[in-house]
Amino acid sequence: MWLGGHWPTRVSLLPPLLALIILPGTAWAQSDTPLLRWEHFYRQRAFPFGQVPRGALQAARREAVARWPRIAAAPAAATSTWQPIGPERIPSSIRSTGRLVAIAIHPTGAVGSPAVILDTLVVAAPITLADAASHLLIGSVLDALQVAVLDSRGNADGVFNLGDVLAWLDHCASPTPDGCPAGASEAQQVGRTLERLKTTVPRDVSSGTERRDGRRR
Amino acid sequence: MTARWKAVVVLAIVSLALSCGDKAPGPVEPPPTPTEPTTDPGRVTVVLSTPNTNDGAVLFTLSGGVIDSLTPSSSRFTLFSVETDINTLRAIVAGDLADGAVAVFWMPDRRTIAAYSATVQQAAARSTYQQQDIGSYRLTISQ
Repeated sequence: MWLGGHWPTRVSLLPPLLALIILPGTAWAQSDTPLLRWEHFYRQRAFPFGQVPRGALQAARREAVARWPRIAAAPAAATSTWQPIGPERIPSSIRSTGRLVAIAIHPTGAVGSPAVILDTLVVAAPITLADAASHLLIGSVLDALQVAVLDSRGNADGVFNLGDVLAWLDHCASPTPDGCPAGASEAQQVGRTLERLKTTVPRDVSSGTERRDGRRR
Repeated sequence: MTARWKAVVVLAIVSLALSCGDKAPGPVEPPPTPTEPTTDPGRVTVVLSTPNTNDGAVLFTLSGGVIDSLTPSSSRFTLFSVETDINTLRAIVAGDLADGAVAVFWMPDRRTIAAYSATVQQAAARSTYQQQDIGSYRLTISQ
């Protein structure tokens, strides 16, 4: 088989052509092992080299931080709440068989932790109820991604407003408050806000003022 | 002792006795009148008037003077508040809201209650979380 006018071209094309002829008929080619799947993806990442350059992942992360600092600054999701959602093998049946190759996340974040699709899928840092309320009251508490998550899970009107905070309040009180930090009870959060209130502008209301417990000073 | 000396001694005793008696009654001073209290510190209530029956939260601004310990009027409500300046608070109260008290706070002198005001800035519906038209919402501050 002569495909070019230069000897090196003939040499480089020969092995793939042989593989097309020989490998599909072998038991090795028909098997589907994790090692082969890993090798398939690894070779694509390593191309045109034999292996992935050392430090490539770290370099990619540094580039992402430089390009999208606000998104990259969000802390990683807690490992305790991480769970695999796919893709995975579809059970064989008469009507369907195969393996999932892609998943689509519901834009309102119905699956798992708070997430929103902007140009890529990104996961927001956990949001306490007090932080959501404080951002509405004074601003500069949440980042843009967290605000987008709250609006998408709230009234989804494109503006962060009271309805979104109310939706988050209900969500944090639900049996599955994903994205709402565990252990931060409503009372603690209210107390935290009040503590911030007290420490913001210390003052002494005039003597004789009735205290919250009804007694007089 | 002669009668003259006796008269002198008697006169001296009488004048001494008179000098030890009560003073003659002068003009009576009026009793002190109770003075008006200088301040009337205490608790006041923020009362909501809403045209809707499905309110889940209200965001409002409270201003006019010193505002101490803003708290929900009921344990069924949740309240968040932040001071924007020394005499102004922004607050969110959430719950099954209806006409009536939503919050309480303490002021150093309730005689100045007229100087305080509360304004609804946002309201949201329960369940749907949609923003409400706040045109007919009112907040009043009462003792």
